[in-house]
Amino acid sequence: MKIGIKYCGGCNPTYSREKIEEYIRKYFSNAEVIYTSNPENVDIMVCISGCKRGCAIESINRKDMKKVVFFDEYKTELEVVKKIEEVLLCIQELDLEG
Amino acid sequence: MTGKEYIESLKKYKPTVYFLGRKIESVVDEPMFRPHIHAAAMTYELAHDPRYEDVMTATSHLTGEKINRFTHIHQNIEDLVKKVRMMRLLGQKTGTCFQRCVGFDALNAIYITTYDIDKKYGTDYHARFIEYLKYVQKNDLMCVGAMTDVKGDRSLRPHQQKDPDLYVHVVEKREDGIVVRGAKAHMTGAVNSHEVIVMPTRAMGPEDKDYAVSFAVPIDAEGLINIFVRQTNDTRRLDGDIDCGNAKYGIVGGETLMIFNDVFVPWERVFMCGEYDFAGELVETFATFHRQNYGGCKVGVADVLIGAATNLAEYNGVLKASHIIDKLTEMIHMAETCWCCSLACSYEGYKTSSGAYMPSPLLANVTKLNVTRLPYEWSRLAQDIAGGFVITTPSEKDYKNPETREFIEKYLKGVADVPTEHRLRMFRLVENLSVGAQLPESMHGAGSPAAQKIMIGRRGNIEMKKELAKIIAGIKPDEHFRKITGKSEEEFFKEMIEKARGERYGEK
Repeated sequence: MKIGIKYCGGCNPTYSREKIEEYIRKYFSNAEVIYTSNPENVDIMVCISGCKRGCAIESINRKDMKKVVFFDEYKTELEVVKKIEEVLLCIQELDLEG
Repeated sequence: MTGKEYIESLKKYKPTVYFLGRKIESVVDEPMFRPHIHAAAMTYELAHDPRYEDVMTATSHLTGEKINRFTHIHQNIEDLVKKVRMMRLLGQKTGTCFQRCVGFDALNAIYITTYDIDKKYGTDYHARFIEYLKYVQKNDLMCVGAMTDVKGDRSLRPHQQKDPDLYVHVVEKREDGIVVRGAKAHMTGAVNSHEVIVMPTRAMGPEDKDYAVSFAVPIDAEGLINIFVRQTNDTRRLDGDIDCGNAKYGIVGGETLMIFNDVFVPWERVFMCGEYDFAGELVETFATFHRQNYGGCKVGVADVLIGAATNLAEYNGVLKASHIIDKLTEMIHMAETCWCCSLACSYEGYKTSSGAYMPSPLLANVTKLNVTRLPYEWSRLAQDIAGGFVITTPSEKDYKNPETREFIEKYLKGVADVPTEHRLRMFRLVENLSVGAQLPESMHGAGSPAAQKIMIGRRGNIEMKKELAKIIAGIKPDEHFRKITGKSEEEFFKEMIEKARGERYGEK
């Protein structure tokens, strides 16, 4: 599995955005994690914004939203993993539906 | 370029620089310059970090290539907003001026103005400038924007000065280019820039034609001399890493007095030469871009200062005192007010005839005028919170001297669980951010308050406001009042008063 990470510009983050990446790399240790702005390059895209303004998701096209997970506040490791796994499940179901 | 590559790239240049009575042979090896170089290097380094590249990079409208945002021409409102986001980020990461915005603003202002000059006169400045811009973008160059002339007698125009060289001017026109002479003051980041971009400093008349000149030269062009200027406490840099407060990135930008001692400029690098009627446009456009920045970069630096004041309150054991909480809240309020201004002038920006976007001139000037005031107040509060040790802390040398260290460790201790050295470092940081050159820089950088007031006054739309007052006062007809009441003001009030008198007082 290929996981893409896109950060917002980080001008005034309200939490440590890097924590989300840290949790992803730890839990999905078998996945390839890359930095990209293009969801087409990856199986699932994680957009990490530092605040509720949510800049990280701005450049994502609507058609790609189904494979995007979005964070704009601190989440625990469990919450991060849960959110990503839910989206992965949805992607699989959509794929099965064709 | 990464930050490290940027520092390496400076070694290829051999600028003529003097400081403290000697000629500097190597800019990057000079300890007095090095903190400023690190601050500028941050503008390169963060562009390669996925956590920040969204604001630090852009796509060139000329080549389609990914470029450092500091070489970009704003193509939409989002670019203007990202610019100030980038400024705040870099202020936070360096705690000082990172210098590269001046050249960035010069690129954008000249892009817009050369387009307008060509439209009027059929010249080819814009095409020349685009070629130059491609060169800057491709090589990721840092440019120092050179606007402020030394000006001599401020009551006289450039051509009226007793000494004709007090504003940069053309002294010779050749087939292959021009020769310029004069001096520019307050040149932020000059010694560690690759290029110098010169612009006129004021609006000009026909007699000032030779002074209406804009061009670019490499920082090591023949005849270009930089005299690096002093800052408060600058030689503390030679004492260690505590007393400076911000040893890594310095304090403000590291300025020079830049002298053009008959510098040759080839025509392909000349972007205005005699079009005096566009000098004012170029100055105002540049000033608008530059004043837009100050609610970004200074607020980023304020974030560091607020953090330092809070840490000291904690180290002093007073963090929960209500007056401390109130002062910290005041600091945040003022900083975010300036941030609001920078965002607002960006969101209210517009497309120029060149296709490039610029911020709202009125709101950009409001931004900067606030920054000539509020940093003084948030610095005052930081000093208040920190306490008198901000200016009476023993030196780093005494702290490191075995004979005195023990006493300083013991008697400058705050709360038990924080090392004394942390407290000393935090005092020095507050001193750096609130006592030294930062404040006059907030006052005069991008122009002094009077300059902002002139632009605010001109663009304040006073005639419209006068009309509003006349309508509300009942001197001029109120179109909407008529629609709301179905009557003219005169009819409405006559009827209402007659009715009220009849009902309440029995009058007829």
